[in-house]
Amino acid sequence: MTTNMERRAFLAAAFALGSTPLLPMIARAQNAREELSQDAILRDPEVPALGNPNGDVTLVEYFDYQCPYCKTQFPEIEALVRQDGNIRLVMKDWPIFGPASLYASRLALAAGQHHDKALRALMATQARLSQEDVEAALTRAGFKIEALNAAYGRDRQRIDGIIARNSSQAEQFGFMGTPAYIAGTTVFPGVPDMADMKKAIAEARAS
Amino acid sequence: MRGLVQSIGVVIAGFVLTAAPALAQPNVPLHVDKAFALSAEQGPAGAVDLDWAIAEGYYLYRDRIELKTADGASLPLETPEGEPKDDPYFGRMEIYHGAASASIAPSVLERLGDGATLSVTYQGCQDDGICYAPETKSFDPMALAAGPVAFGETASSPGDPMALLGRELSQEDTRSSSASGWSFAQDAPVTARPAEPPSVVSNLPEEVSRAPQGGSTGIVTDASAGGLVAGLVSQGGAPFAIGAFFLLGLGLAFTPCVFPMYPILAGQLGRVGAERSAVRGALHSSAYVLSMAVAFGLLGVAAAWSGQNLQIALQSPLAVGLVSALFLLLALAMFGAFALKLPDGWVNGVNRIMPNGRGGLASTAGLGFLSALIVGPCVTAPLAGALLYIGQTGDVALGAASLFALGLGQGVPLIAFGTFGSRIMPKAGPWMKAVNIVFGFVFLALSVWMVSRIVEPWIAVGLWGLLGLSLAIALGAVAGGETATSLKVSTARLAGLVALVLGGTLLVGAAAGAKDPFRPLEPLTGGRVVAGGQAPLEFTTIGGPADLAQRISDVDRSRLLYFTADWCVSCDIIEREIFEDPAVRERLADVDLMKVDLTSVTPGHDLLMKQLSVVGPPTMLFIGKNGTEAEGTRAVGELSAEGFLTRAGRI
Repeated sequence: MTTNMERRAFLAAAFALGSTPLLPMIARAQNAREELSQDAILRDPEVPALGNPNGDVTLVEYFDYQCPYCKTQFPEIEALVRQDGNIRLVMKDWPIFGPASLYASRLALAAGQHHDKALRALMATQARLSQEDVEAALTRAGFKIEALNAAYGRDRQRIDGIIARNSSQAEQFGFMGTPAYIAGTTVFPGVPDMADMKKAIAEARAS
Repeated sequence: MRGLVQSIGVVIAGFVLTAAPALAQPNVPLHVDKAFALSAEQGPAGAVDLDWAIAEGYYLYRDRIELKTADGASLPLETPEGEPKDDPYFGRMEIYHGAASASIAPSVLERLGDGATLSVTYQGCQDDGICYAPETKSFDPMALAAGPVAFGETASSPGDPMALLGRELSQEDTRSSSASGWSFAQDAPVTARPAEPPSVVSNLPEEVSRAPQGGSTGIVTDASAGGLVAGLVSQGGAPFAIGAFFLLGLGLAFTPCVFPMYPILAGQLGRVGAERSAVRGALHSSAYVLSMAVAFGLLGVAAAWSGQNLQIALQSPLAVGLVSALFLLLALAMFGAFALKLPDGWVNGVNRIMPNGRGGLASTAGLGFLSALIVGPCVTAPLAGALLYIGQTGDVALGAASLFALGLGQGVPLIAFGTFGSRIMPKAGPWMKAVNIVFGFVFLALSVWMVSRIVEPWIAVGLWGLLGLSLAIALGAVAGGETATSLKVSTARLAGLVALVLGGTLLVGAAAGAKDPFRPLEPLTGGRVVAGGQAPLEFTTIGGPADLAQRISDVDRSRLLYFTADWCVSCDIIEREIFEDPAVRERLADVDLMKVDLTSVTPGHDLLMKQLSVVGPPTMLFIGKNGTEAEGTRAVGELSAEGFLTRAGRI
């Protein structure tokens, strides 16, 4: 049952990732302008914000829970956000490593208020994850897997919508993979120099 | 002679490598098609081979390579074992650096209908950088009969609406994203899918990328590199060219390339009992040299047929291991028949395979053949010239004849050695036994020498140590306490004791992880006792065309590109005599040093060699700041430090 659903959801994500029939693609092309608007990228109301939710600058990261660099870099990003104190950190799930990544993203987004905690637990894992690894990490963090799956079931439209939107945005930006960052209005399609990122944040704040 | 050899280096002139366009800054990941350049071609026996040339600093996951039919059914794909990567952040997995390959078995392809499309999906990362989204390329396996297909980013797209969309969006997108107020850090590509020239497998400068894949017409190398044979023919016709190759061979006969052949021939002469007869010696050494020359000719035929240098293809662990085993058997045969009391079963078994004393000319010829192809594979300027000539003109007959003549020329001193060497042999008597033991050890040493190309360095050091101890035993160093009875016996024991000490030292070194049999105690002395006291020059390793282009655009210096391999005898000489030379080191201080290690050849290496018209190691390309190979500077085979400095002076 779950596997079937997972497969379907994965297909939906794969859809967004490119192997799609022409029709929805054209529709998306027309929507591209809206999709890349600052509101859609920085202030998607359905994507939870970490750091200081009322911060004056938004830092967006497109990431995958199996991407090694996303995880090694995460403590540095968190430190930056903590030290600055006025950054909204928006972690955008872009699951590119197959079903386990998608599963992780879905359960973390299903955690609602505790999204933050679920995300940290998953970011602290080894790079390669099986679905069991995902469940084990979340269980250790105090989550009940059945409860998360149930929450996902109730909230599927929102969660799958977020993931599809994120993936689509990443594609529209021409990102080759994860991680990719947007600090204010500066796009970092690869691994950023932290100094450059700080500069971009300062610039965003100045404007 | 030397002048002629050197002038050939000049004749084999360079070609133009235009400067690569400036790529984005280091942190900006390469486009997926540059990071993992995929090409597909028909492999042996109806298989389809997929090859990725992976840029330096990027890797592909083995378990993320998938093959599917158009309707999404998974198909089996054979992939070689990858490098294990197992660390706290990565977890456990297998990855490929430099190059990767996958093979679709003929049985899988047979089950597909005509016109079936396959799609291959793959995924990788940049070291300490981004992980790419999965990339999918579709192709028609049947269409590969017409020739290999390289997947540029547009090559894959005709049926791919996403790619189409990417291009349609690209102009609008640029405007719309800037209209939305996005600015890209680090001059990154702004379009969803930056436009690229179609079907380019590498991102080498265009002329080079368009080089003939199999080598028939093409880049500027034609006129120059193939010019050796063509030039000789125009001077005096084909017979003149063949004669010249014979002379060139003579010139090469006293280079380290040919040295390993002497102990092999000596051992073989001893084995067949021809070491004391000038006539038999001449007969056997002629057979040896003739088949060696035939093997050279065969290299030409193989090059025409496959576009590859057979010598390199034969440096596989299997071939090298088999030859090593052959030498071991030959050694045992010598011991078994004359010296050691080996178990009868062994002796009989060995004698069945290696009949001793009555070995025919055929076995000598066989050794000559193997020597040329596997034991002492040497890429020299004339050899490269002839192979390139064949590749470019398709004139197999003249090319192969020239190579045959080259082999004969290289062998003349061997025939002299085999014929007149008998004069210095002691006449029959009790010494005969000793002589056979010596030849046995010659074969043992050859066996260790061969196998050291394919085993861990410390194992090779250990094997040399064991060889030393065996020699000590054979020489009586550890025999019973009876006092030495004669000068001969004492001398033998002294030599045996030396072998004992050396062998023991090597074993100690091996246990400590020594890598160089000439410096067995290096790990114990913390590397303080390094002969010459110089650190080796540091080279950037290039895995394929994409790597090279990246490096050329990254580093703004004049450059040296050096093709080498562990099994390349001349390379050792170059590394000792040229790269240790103070004047050379000083000259190279501001040169970007790059090397291609052909010890195990990857598809990326193949591509690079084809594109640069390199036949094998040692080959050096002197490349200017602007990415142009300096005219007349290419060095193939051995050269002197002066020759090196002259060439380096032109970049």
